Amino acid sequence: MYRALYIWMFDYIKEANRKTIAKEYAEHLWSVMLPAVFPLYPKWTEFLDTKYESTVVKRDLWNCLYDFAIEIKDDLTNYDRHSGAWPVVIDEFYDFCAHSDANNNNQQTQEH
Amino acid sequence: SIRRGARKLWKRSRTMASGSGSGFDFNNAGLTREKAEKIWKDLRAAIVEIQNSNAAELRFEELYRNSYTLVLHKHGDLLYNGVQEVVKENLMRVSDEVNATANPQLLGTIVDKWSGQMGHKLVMTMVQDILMYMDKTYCRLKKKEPVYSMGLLQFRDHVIMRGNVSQRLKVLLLDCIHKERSHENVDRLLLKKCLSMLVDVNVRNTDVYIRVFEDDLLKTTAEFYMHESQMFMSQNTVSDYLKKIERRILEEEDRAATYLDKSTHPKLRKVVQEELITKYAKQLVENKSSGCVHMFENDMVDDLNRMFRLFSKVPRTLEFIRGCMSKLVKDTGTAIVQDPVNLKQPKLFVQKVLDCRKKYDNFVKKAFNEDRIFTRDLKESLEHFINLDSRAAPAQYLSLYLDEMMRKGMKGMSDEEREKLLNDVISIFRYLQDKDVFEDFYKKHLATRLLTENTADRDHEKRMISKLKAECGHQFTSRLEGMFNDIKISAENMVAYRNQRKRDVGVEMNVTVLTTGFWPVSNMERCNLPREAQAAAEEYKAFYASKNSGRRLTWQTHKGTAELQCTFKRGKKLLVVQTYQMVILMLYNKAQRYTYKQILELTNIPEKELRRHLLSLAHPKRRVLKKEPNIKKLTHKDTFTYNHDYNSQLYRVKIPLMQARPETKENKVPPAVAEQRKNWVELVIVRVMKTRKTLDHNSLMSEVMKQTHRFAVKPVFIKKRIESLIEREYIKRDKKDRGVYHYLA
Repeated sequence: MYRALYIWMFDYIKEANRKTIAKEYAEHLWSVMLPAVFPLYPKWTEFLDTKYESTVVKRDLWNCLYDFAIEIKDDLTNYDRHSGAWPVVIDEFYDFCAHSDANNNNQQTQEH
Repeated sequence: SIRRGARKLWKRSRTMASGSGSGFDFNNAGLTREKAEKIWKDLRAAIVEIQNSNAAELRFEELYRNSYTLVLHKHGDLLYNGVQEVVKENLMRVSDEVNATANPQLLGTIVDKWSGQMGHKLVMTMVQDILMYMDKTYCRLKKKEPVYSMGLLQFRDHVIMRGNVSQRLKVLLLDCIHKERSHENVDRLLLKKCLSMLVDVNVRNTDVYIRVFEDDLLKTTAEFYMHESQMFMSQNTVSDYLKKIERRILEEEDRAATYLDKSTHPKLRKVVQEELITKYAKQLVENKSSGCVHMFENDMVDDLNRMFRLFSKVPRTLEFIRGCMSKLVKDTGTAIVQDPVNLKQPKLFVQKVLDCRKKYDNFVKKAFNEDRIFTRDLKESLEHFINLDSRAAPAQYLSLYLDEMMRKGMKGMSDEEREKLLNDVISIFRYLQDKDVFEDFYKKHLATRLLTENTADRDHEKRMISKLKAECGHQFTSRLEGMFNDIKISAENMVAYRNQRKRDVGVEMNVTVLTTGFWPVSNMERCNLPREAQAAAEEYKAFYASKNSGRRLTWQTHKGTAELQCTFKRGKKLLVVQTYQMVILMLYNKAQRYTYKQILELTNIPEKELRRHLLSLAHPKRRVLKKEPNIKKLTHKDTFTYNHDYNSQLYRVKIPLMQARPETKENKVPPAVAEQRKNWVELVIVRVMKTRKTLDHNSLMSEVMKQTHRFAVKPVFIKKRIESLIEREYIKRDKKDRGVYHYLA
């Protein structure tokens, strides 16, 4: 049920003559709807601030993000970059997480 | 039945069944033991005679009959055991003799005893002849060894394996082989006979041969060559080493064929190859001073061929050679592609790449016998470095090279040479990953050539097109043919135009009409044509419209040339200039000097082009206009004055135009091509989805990749196109499974 609501929200917010919604609106909506179901939500906001360059959010990304939130584990071990058919933005998010994890590990070893 | 040869051993006896010989009894009433033993005694004596080479007086049929009788009357045991005994006795004597023989004569003696004139084999043959009936009945029934092979085995046990004969034989045999390897002569026939003896003496298998000879042969061979190869390696260059081992290998083959048993051949080969080739293969290839790199660089085709032939005996060693070649090609190629000198001159670049390819192609053909895997590796290495540059520069350079060749580079070449050159270009084209970039440039260059060159003979252009068609398919040339057609029709139109012109407009014109769609797209911006040119243009336009209603003509003023008759102090000159330059120069009919800004405003020529055309006119080498300040830098306030002092040797002077920088110096693939690629991939996706209606992600990806040959397509690229199509509602994801797509009609 929640998923259906989430999917529907896109159309609710979207303007009639457009196909996408503004990034700002998407971010607001996400901040309300996602944290409860999306453990990596903080990382996602970080990603949006640093790496996500577009000013709009497409429907496909909106929809798939929910599935990503639900299906993929915190440590991203069950993410299939090759056959997963995830949108390219989500692939980039995956890379972003992997990269920052590596950095954290490096920092930790350096501190030691 | 008696062997034909055996008839020679036996004197023909005319007396057959008619009963000569003592003790013959047709009476079937059984044979007493006493009688049997008598018959046996006679037989025994006969056998001894045979053993003593006195067979001449014996009568075969009688002996045969006697043994037949014994067996028939159930005295087979007596006969068999007796024979065994008498053979053994004889062999013991032989053995004593052999044991007493000194080493130098040992081989000869034992071979003679075995297969000599009245040797054991022959004796047993004759004995077998007599006892044939026993073999067929008694031996079979009682599962005893038939007579002949029984005899051989006895030779084994009582002669060869008795005493220290077998050890002595082993030493002598291996010694002979060592001598031969040290290039001394030995009696090969004797060796062959001796080894055959060892093989045959064990009847059913080669165990004796192996134990007495082969095992140690292989061991000593390994040691011999281990030592020798070590020595060779340390004292020779690679190419000399290969020559030496080639000789050794041939020697061993010869030896094996001449006197070693067949079963030894593969084993010996393996040992020799292991010691001489396999152990050192990698080292040989990688030797810094005389290894493969040295050979490649010094064109040592024969040596490489020798290496190839030798290594082919142990196929997995070939990969070292291949690895070396691939690396060398890649390194050489990468150096070519990254050398700044080469990057400035397309012709040099292409020439070097061609040379590299030719060189290694030659190696593959001549040294490596066109081996398939070598050919494949070379192709991959060439592709690797040609496409290293992600900016698709090689594609561009190749097309620039071709352009230069087409324009002037092929003057004075024979037909054959031209053909070869075109083929060379095609061969590099095949290695390109970004084939579509090349095609794009090619078409642009071709268009320019068609418009500016006056070659009546377009033969080589057409030949090139047909070659590219063979490579890329029919699609490629369809629009090109349109270009050629436009040229032809325009020429016809001009004739018609001139014929029907009533008055002299004052400007001679030559018009080529290009059908949009056939020719490469170029951004055209209008400029202000001088009055005279404008008038002529209008008139042609009217003429054309009268012949082709419904068509719209747009003047491409950024192309085209003009011939201007200009008056200078020293006389009139005919200047051949670009259209824009004509527009600029015509201004000077009204005034002598203009600022850059003024020229810009009056001509309305796009600034980038204006700079190029204007500066070419003011260039120090041919100052038709004088620029102040006289430096290359251009600002709005600079002035250009008509140079009355201009002079030149010729009346008709062609004013060269400064080259525009190649468009894709900084960028990646030219934007037009990038756009084409997007469209192409989307087209393929839609086509596939339309056919299949529903398809999973992986299958769709692989289908697209399968159908895309003209450039390398990355998965990310395809994914983005899929998403774009989802957005535009050509396809959608399945509700339940994100990885499945549906076609939306």
